[in-house]
Amino acid sequence: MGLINAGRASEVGPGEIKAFTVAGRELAVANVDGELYAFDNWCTHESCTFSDEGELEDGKLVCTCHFGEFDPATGEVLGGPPWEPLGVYELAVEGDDLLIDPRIDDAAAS
Amino acid sequence: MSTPAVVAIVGTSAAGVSAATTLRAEGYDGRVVLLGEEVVPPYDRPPLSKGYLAGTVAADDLNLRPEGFWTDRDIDLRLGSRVVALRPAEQSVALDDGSSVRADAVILTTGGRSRALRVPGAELDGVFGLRTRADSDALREWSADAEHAVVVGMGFIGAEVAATLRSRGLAVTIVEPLSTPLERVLGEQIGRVVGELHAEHGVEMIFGDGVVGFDGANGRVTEVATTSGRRLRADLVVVGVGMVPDTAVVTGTQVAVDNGILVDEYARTSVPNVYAAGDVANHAHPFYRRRLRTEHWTHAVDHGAVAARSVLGRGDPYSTIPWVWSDQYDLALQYAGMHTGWDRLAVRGDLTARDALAFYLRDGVPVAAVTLNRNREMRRAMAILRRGQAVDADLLADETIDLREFAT
Repeated sequence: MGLINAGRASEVGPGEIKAFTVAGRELAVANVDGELYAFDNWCTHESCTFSDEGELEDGKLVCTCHFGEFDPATGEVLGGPPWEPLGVYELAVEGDDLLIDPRIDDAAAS
Repeated sequence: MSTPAVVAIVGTSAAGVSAATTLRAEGYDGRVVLLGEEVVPPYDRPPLSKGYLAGTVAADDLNLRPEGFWTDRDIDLRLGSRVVALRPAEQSVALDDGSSVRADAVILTTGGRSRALRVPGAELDGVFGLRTRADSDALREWSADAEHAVVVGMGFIGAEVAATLRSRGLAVTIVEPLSTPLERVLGEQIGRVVGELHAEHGVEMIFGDGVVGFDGANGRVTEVATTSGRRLRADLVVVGVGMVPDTAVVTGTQVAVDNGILVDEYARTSVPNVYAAGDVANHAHPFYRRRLRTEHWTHAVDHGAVAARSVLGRGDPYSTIPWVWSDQYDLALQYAGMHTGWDRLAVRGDLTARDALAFYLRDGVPVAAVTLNRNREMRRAMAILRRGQAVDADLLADETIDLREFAT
């Protein structure tokens, strides 16, 4: 399937997390100091979304419902109730086009 | 200090699992034995009063770790193994089947048991405590045929169970001795907001009253009698009046006990090589300069990890700000901090609309905070609590000022 256009990169400002639907998958894109990361929008713990309840804190992705903490680049659990890693996705920016591969990026996952 | 060859962890709940996994995460390559009295694999307790009780969270989803996790990490998980005695001098723990396990270091994560009401009829069928998965299973099964539930106590467990049973269609009455829900933690003003939520969902709440006994027929509960003389119809009762730390295992040892097992800020008990963490531990807290016994999920996990690192001689003093979440109906409530009284409440947002962050201040210092449907603000609020400095309460209540300005 490869990279497909998901929207505009400028929609996600620094420190923000926005939801995008890509090929039927509900993903979130976070802007960590200008660097964009794509991951599943639903926390692996309970039913909360990063676009509603997520915060970026010192480069960590935090689900503020129950304080699950993830590495936004690898999906690795860094703390809190979740034990299941988060699915992460390959992302590229061309001009203002946000390109995401909607297949889970196993290479990035730890 | 030499690294122990075998670490035995007594108790398979969140604190015990955290201790075991932390030992491995820290690179410990000795033996890790995780001993659990229950026969089911380690599970998560928060859903027992919420999703698991409601039937929306399956048993498999309750497991704290996936199957295979324990063997992958070479953790010797022994279920159905009740530790009956600690023998620090012999470096072992004794099990109820007469066998023993070598333990150069022991981490006690035995948690506690539901506090029972010592009133006539407390032994009737249909009267439940809620602590274990088996309790939640029994309660869910019984609730399928029940119509009138009485919940005794409106702390976190009582409030959550009431919400879940109400959502399952039962008529629910709560009997609470204080004047508002969660009053000790939240205070009257915010407790009332939680009470309004339950009232909107049709829960009947009786405040300022206690339970003096239960009546039954054919061994099953039928009625609850209260201090003020009320008689409440009930075919199901849940008693949510707190927990008692389970310290039985240290009986007869030199491990000091006072409202739980006494530990220092490194989770060390009064006996060398014996540690305690989680609900069972009454721990010295450097930030509050007093002892605390905390019964929150995050505490169990963080404290278990502290104990594990202390075993390896890498301990940091444990000084975390207590934090808890509680989901009731569509309310996401979070509470952080600790207070022994406050003189001012600074509210950002709208309490009545259940969209607010409130700080409890004492002598101008924010000592605790609560969010109602504002999860995203709690971490910033906690940074202010941790700073522990006096702030202007009027400014703190001003939503136009960014919370981060109070944390620096």
